[in-house]
Amino acid sequence: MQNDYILNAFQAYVDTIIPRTPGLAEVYGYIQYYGALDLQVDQFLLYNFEHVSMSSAELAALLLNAAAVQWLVNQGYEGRGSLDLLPPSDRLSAIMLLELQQMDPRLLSEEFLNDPGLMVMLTDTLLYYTLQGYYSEWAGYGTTRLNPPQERVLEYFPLSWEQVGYPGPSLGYRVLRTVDIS
Amino acid sequence: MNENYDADVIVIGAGGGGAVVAKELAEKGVKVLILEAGPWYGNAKWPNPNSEHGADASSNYEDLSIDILKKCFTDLENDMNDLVTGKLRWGPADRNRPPWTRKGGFVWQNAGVGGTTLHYFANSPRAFPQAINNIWPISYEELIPYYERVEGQLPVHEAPVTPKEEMFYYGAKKAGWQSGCGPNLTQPCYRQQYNAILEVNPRINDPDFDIQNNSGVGCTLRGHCVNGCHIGPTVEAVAKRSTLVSYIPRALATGNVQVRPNAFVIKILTVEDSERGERATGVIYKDTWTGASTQLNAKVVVMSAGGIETPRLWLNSQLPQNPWVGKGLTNHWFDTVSGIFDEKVVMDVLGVSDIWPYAGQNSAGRLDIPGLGVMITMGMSPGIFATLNYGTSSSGFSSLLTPNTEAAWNVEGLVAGEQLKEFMREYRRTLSLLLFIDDDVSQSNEVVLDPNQMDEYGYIPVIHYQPSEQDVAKREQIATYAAELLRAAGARTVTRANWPAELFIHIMSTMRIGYVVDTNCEAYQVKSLFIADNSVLYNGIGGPNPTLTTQAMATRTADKIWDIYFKQ
Ligand SMILES: Cc1cc2nc3c(=O)[nH]c(=O)nc-3n(C[C@H](O)[C@H](O)[C@H](O)COP(=O)(O)OP(=O)(O)OC[C@H]3O[C@@H](n4cnc5c(N)ncnc54)[C@H](O)[C@@H]3O)c2cc1C
Repeated sequence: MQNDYILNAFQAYVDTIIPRTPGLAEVYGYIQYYGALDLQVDQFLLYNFEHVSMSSAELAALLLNAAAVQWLVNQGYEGRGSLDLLPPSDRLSAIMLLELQQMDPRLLSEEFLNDPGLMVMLTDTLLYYTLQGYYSEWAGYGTTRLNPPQERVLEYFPLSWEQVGYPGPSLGYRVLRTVDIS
Repeated sequence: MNENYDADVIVIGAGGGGAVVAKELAEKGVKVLILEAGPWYGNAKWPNPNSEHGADASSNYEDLSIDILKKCFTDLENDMNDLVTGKLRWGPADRNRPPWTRKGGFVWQNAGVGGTTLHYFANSPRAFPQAINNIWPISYEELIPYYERVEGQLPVHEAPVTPKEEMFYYGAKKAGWQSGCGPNLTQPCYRQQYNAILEVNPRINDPDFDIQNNSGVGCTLRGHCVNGCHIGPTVEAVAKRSTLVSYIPRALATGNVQVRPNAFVIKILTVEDSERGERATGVIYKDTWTGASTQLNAKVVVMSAGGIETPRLWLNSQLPQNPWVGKGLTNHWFDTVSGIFDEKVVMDVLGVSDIWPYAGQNSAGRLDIPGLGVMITMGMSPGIFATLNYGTSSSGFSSLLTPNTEAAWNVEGLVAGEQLKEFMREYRRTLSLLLFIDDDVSQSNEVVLDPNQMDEYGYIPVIHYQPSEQDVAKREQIATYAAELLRAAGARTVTRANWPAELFIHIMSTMRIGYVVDTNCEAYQVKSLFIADNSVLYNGIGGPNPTLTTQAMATRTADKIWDIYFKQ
């Protein structure tokens, strides 16, 4: 399967979980505008899903698009579609069907029927990777971010850390308090 | 040592329990060989542990190298803790190879010398006496001297107070909880953690103290317990006392211990002895880099592969059937509840603007409620923080749920979209609590082998864990207490994650004392085979973090092994 198919699904997913937020930017400053697409978190998902013992990037993308179809069916539409073609405001509801395991098995490919834990595992992992990819240092690896882990070099301070006010790793903090709690 | 043996004792796994039993035996003069599936960080024989095979073994204290440890432990949370490519992951040393697959949920454990203690918080409380006495086949009183030995050896200290703990104690007091209790807890009580972390460097708050070039001893409150601590002038003096830096150096110092990392044990070997029945004689392990198999013989074998892998290895070795092998899994079924505070409130209570979840030991304060469970403060770097507080739930997305106006929290479930960014924007003023309950032992909560799926080390383990009705009620109760505490402290927004049950962090009681092993922790059905890890615990010890109890048991088991097999 084409990487495009997978990346389209992953982009729609990460953009739903961590979107660009012009509203927050207006109130809190421009840094709050950026979201997961700006840090290319979809590529982080692709890398990690491809580097487990049973490469599952394609299955994860299939699952996301099956959820889109299920959502359409639930709304009374004909069953064809994919997550990236759903309006952004409806995507979270589609992903919710995975979270709550409300999928019609007929919409799922064989792999999911043979392994009941697979859907839960992929659903949890999608979210985990998205949050890790965005809020950890990964984006800061810049041009080396898709290298094997031993060959990544931190090139800059991740924008997400600026958004949350994390100063980055430190060798110590002068924060000892003297309090008697007993 | 008998010349047919490669060692007197082979220990499988250099984690929370294995390193302890090895060091205790070695100090009595027993020759011990430790086989560990993962890498060794901080040893001159493995200058690049993730990219080169390096040596086969190390048995020399002088091999320990703080410079290599500092080079390996980069403090970067993805580099260290990514589940697929991290240095602290459940997989082989070579990070270009995939992690090891486990089924039935997510098992948070780590392969390497030090095992899962490499990224544990080092919380080291004792069990609740009421969960041991008249329940376990041994008494709490019998454990006390072993607790004292481990507490002295690690060592364990009362944890320091930083802003997040101060806010927690403030809330606990306002919510009406009592403080002032000793280590043997019988009443609900909030207190400073007992952590296996060296005391804080006494100069930490001194503006002239040079944090950048510090080569002193002591914790520097930098919040990287979970990402791999390397603060200290030598490996043995590193602040957080994973067994990599506590028991392993002491074991090497005896001159009686050899450790082979990158060695995955695939089979326990036994013989049928006409007098004594089945007896362990050795193991077969595979080199995780080359795949080469090696057989080793010893008088005694100790399984310390952890709550999942010890039963897996038993089953893959086709050791005798026992209805309790792999059964009775307890896991404390965790959850998180967090409070976001306004700056003014933080200022009024603490006199500073922020709670700083990334500063201080990852977990330094706790409220214990015997009969129910535990809540602890938890501050982490932002990626792990976001995952544990907002990205782990069985409720689905909070924004799509009908709000429950009865609940003690404002938000339940996964947080996504603009709300996630708003909450994360207030990361610095968020106080998170990690909750875990005293879950029931049930024979149907189990580790079994997948009948079809194998990896290069045998059939892979599958976990089945279903909390009881009582467990559900306990977890709702403790989540409510946590939310009330945060409210009492003045939190504006309280969120509850509602974790699924299939997330395994305190993996216990899958090879229970009294069922699979006798009171010496020797297997009933296989002589000279002992177990020294979380799996021998009889139950979830009432809720407290399990490692200190496992280490006390491992100390005791070393004494028993000595008495039975080596004392002349
Ligand atoms: C993030 C996190 C924080 C935690 N914080 C705390 C805390 O603060 N306090 C606390 O008490 N507990 C804590 N825990 C739990 C704690 O880590 C475990 O209780 C403890 O490590 C268990 O010790 P063990 O010996 O049973 O297993 P482990 O420490 O997991 O050691 C098992 C070792 O055996 C090796 N192994 C497995 N199979 C084989 C094989 N076949 N051949 C060779 N080697 C093998 C593994 O690689 C591993 O090194 C935490 C856990 C996590 C994930």
